Amino acid sequence: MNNGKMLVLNDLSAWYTPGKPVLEKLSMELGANEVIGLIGLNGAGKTTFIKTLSGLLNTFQVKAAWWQGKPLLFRDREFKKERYVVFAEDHSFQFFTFREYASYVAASYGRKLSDIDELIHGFHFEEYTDVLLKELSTGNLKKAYLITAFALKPKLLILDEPVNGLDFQSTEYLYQQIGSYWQYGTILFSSHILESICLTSDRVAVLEQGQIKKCFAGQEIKAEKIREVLKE
Amino acid sequence: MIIFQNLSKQLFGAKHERAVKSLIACIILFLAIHTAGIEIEIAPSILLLTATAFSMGIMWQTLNSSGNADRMTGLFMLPFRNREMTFSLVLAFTSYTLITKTFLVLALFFAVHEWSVPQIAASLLCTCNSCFSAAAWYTMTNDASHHWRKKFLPVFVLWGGAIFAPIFLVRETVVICFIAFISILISFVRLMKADAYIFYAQARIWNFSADAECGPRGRVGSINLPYSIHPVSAKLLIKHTKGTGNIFLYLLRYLITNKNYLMNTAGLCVLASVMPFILGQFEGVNVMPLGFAVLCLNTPICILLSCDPGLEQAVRTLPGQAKRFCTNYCFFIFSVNMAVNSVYLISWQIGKSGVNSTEIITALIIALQSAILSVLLEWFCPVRNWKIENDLWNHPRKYIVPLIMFLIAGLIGMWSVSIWVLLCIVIAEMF
Repeated sequence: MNNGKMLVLNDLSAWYTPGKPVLEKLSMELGANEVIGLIGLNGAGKTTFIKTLSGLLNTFQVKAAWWQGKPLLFRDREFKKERYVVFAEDHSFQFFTFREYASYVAASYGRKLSDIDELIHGFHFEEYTDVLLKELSTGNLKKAYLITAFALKPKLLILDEPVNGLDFQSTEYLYQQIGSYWQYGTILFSSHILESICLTSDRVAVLEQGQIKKCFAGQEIKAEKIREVLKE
Repeated sequence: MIIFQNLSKQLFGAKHERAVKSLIACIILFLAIHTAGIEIEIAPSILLLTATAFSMGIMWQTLNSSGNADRMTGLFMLPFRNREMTFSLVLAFTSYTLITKTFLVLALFFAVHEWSVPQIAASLLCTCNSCFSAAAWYTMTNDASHHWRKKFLPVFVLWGGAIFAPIFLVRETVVICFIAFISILISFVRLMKADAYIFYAQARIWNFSADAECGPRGRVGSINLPYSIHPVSAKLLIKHTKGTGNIFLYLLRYLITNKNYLMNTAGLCVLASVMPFILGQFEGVNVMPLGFAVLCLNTPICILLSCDPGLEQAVRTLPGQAKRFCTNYCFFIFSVNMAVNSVYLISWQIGKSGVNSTEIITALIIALQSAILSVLLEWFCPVRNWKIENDLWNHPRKYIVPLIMFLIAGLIGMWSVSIWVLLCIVIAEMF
């Protein structure tokens, strides 16, 4: 049924208002240990897709959903323990420090965070680890969630617009982390910045009006080609 | 005028549908009670006191609402005249306070008693005075100059005293109206001189500025703020090096940081210390459980998920939160309830004596039951789609748990054996 794929979705539709689907019969397969970039113009449905996968949206319909060969429920605890989501806009746990937040997330997933000091150093976050999250800037807040994500190393890491708000150095470090994540699992990340997609993805899915319009893989991933598809 | 229209559209909806709904609700409430023929004897001073105090409190909450920053950013980015902005803001928030909140209370008063036209006019004047005075005080307490901030307390005591003294002491509608009119004039003069940015800066601080370019010591926002009042106490700005991600500690920080939540809890403590002397007057009836139910009215801490959509999103996304988060949240509400209940029990012991172990157990069980129900409601039925925090603080859903607790307290008061039945229910709920 799933041909060895990690995640299989067939005909996923999602909506906020009945009769006005944001995602319309979207089908997607994610293999193990790959990086999939999701690109689309504003309103294409990227965030809705990620929210549906995260179990936050319950107004959806899916013909078939499989996770590692088993039927998938987005709100199932076992699936939740295998994935972590970094949202584009996240202001959660504002009264925790980064260390407290990371510790809480690790306890929730029942695992230890590894390489956290290296990640903190890589994202130039040393000064902010013991400061309440509510006092951090947009970029630093994003770093807090990204460090937690990469230290947690879930099988499926979902990143919604991870580059937004990051400075130049941190963006480059993020690309490195995404590029080397195949050792631990799969990354699905959305972006509307072509550079971030082209530099890091094994496959690129172009999302338009709630459907995957075209997929690119390997050598096909070229900014010009993707730009043409987006312009059409 | 454009600023006022813009703000009122944000507060009431594009077609002012919220205002229409609120007014219809007032009319329905008035007609329902009036038609039912319910009549209560109420002194005019009580009407004026309620109109004044209630409007003042709601206006203060509205001005302190954290959503105001987002609402105002676009407005403050554009060029504007200072006075026009100040008065537009005050008028918009006054309209919101009166139409969505105060008029409902007034409708209730008007329905249960026959009032003369001058009395109705006086109550409306008092509500307007409350809103303008609250706005004027707000500008003083958040003013950049130390001059006003230093003088705020004596001015507040004198001004507030002048408003409330005639209501309590003179009780003459004409005198109360005259004082209210003078107070409106003084507010007007103060607001003429106030800097409109006071409203934006303070709202922005409350909003915790996720987009602020601040360092670790609470420098707020990329704008240069002359306003030094910060909602985060100094203790919270220090580095927290020993934290292990404890939700109870997290919620405690939330409570300490939020003035409204703290004030509500402090108010309940005051009530807890006074209540034994009021309830103790009823002879032959066990009214003590009713006090515990009243003290469960600390509703702001029971809607922490509703008022923080970011937290709710995270809690729903992370695994195992139904147990991990909810258990801690329940324990937190229980602890706060019990802290207030302890004041009540101590006060009862001092004033009336005779607090026994059954009553302590009753306090524990009611506090726990209230916490469990509150968390269950937050988890399965959070309040969403609210415009400003005030909507949340006055949402009817908040009062479901206190209502249930009143019924339970009544049952326990009549049949003391009910407490053991409730204990069994609570134990069952915990598993």
